[in-house]
Amino acid sequence: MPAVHNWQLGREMTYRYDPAYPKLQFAAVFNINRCIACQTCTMACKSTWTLSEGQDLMWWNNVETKPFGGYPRNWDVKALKLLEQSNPGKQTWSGKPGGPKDAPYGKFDGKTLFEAADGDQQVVSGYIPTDEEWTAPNIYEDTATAYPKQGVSLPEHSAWFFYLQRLCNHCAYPACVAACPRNAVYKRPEDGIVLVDQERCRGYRKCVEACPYKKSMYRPTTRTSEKCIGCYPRVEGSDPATEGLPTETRCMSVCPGKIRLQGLVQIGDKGVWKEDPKNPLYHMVHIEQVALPLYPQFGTQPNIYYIPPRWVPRPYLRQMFGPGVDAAIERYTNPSREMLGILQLFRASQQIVFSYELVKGPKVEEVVVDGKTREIFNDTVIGFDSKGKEIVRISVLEPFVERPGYLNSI
Amino acid sequence: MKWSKPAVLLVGALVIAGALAGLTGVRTATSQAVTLKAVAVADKPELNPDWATWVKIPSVDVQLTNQAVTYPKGGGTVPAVSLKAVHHENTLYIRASWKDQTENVPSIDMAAFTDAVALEFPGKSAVSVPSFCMGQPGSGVNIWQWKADAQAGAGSAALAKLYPNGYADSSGFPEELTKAALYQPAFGLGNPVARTDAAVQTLVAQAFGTLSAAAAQDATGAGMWRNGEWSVVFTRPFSAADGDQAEFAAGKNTNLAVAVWDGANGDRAGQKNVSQFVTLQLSGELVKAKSEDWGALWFGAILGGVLVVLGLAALGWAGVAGTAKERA
Repeated sequence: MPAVHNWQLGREMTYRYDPAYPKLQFAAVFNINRCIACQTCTMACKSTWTLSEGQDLMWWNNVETKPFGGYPRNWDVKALKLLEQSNPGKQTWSGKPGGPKDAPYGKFDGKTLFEAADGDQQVVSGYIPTDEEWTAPNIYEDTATAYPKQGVSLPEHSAWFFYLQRLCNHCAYPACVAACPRNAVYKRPEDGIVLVDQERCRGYRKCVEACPYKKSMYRPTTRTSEKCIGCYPRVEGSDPATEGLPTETRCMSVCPGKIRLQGLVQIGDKGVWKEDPKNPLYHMVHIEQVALPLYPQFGTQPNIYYIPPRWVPRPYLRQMFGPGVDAAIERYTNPSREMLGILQLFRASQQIVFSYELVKGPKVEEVVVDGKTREIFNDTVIGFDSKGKEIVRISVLEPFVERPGYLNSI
Repeated sequence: MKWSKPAVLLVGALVIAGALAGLTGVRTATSQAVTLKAVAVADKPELNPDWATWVKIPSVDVQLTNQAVTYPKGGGTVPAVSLKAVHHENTLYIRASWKDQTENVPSIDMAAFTDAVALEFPGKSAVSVPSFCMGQPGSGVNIWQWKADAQAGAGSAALAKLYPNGYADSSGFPEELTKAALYQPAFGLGNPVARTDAAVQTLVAQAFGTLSAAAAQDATGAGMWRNGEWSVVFTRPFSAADGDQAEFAAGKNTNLAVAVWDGANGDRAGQKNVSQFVTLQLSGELVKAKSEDWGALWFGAILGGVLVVLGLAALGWAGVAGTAKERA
């Protein structure tokens, strides 16, 4: 089986196909700390793509409550269990986070789901969830882990939960693409979006079985599998509403909590992101390493990156986001001026921001966080589209407008 | 030696079963060097595994093995399939039956798989005899696949039956819209797996992973499950509407391979039970003129009749003996 470089694992791994990388890759950063689980993203997706008969149990985007919630139920626990059974006690990392961009989190010494598979009946270790597991996408929502007598406080809460926003990761090494015996699942060279060809799919459900994130789903009315299409008409600008400009997906652009920023990043040799420090996603993922992949140990090199929740016990987060968690939380808690500027770009525009610029402003405040003094500057961040045209300009300090007094006429 | 009544009954039943086996001409193939003869019949066959004439047609058993050549490997639960074939007015009919203790006809269950069977023939335009493993470039195969779930009309109808009060946002839309590529893409794009009006898909392939819908979907079929056995009849005119498909002619031989999927075993795709190519011989004569076969059948019938009489006599003797014992 061919060897490919998985930069999230800092090593080579086996994959069913030779490496082939898109020019641009669909990617996003989700700030878990800001999510209120309003499910606006979920409903925007549902009402756009999965409103029809036979898609009843299909939620291409969902927000679930960790640690007990999951759609389909226990999807991540089951995938982790498959890995643990295949390589007991050895799913560990070595080296240190903060490394170069082809191995930023150190090296994963365990097995990926590709390496744990038998190769005969499965090329990716997996399972097919039952109908029951696909139902009740929000069961166990807001179930706390403990009931402490006193309150909880940072840095880690003893009673905790958090919301995990999920959609297809449009992986660099998609499990669904590897698993399909007839190449009905493919990754687009122009933007890395992964699609199921509805003309070729024969409903074998090998992709449903293989995808560890369980974002390939079976539709019993057409007897084919369907998945998140990354709102490709919006991303490629062919949807009339985009007026020809690359636009963020439905789930991203509706987010009231401003937790999501989507982009298209440039891919270079060995699938590693090309140097592009002025791309806000590149800055967060590779320069600050504040946003981390979801379960990198699965081996698919997923492309949704998460700023981990500050209050959650670290061992849980390290299992979910890898060894970069502690540094990511530290940098999010005490953000650099660049980082604070980029955070303002979240949901400031529906058009995809390809690059940004920070215009420095005056110091406006000093605050103490976790015993450290932090200076706040009123910098202004400017976002540019694919052609370098300004699409957004926003300052760290919200503009204060005093309305002149007037007499109430009633 | 005194025989108990149950023992006599068992022997009688075995004798009758043996006679029936002789009558129907079942013979077990020990290798894949098997020839399935398609005899010409005078009456138009019904698209029904229970069509009365099938019992008069000799069958051959074809051994199946688990598919162990390519990903995804699997199968191994169905060891053999029994085949019969006839032709009538330039149309071929093939009946396949195999043992399967569970009838798997999933309707909307996302983790359940359907029982299915497929026949594979060399494509008309093949430059050489194709590999029975899905053909090769330039020498393709033609596959007719029957699926239990497709025959049951799973899909929308099954959903409506299971959830009569179910509602989707598209429920109020006109059918031509909901079946369009926008809302049911597989259906709208003409993917044959999405069809609910046909139990058999007509397919072509030129290598692993290249299976595609044939331009003309002209093979049809019907199957039924009874007492742990599936029986499926396929039919198609000798000549197909497109060149990638198989071509048949009376008096000519071609090849035939079989695949069976056991839904209870999670079979789908390459996870299946497969045979190699066997010879399919299309006779030029009517079934009544086949003296060779009729000789065998008559022999079987006479032998069977004699054995039945013997069996019944044994049963009668046992009955008389029993009555005498009761009297004593």
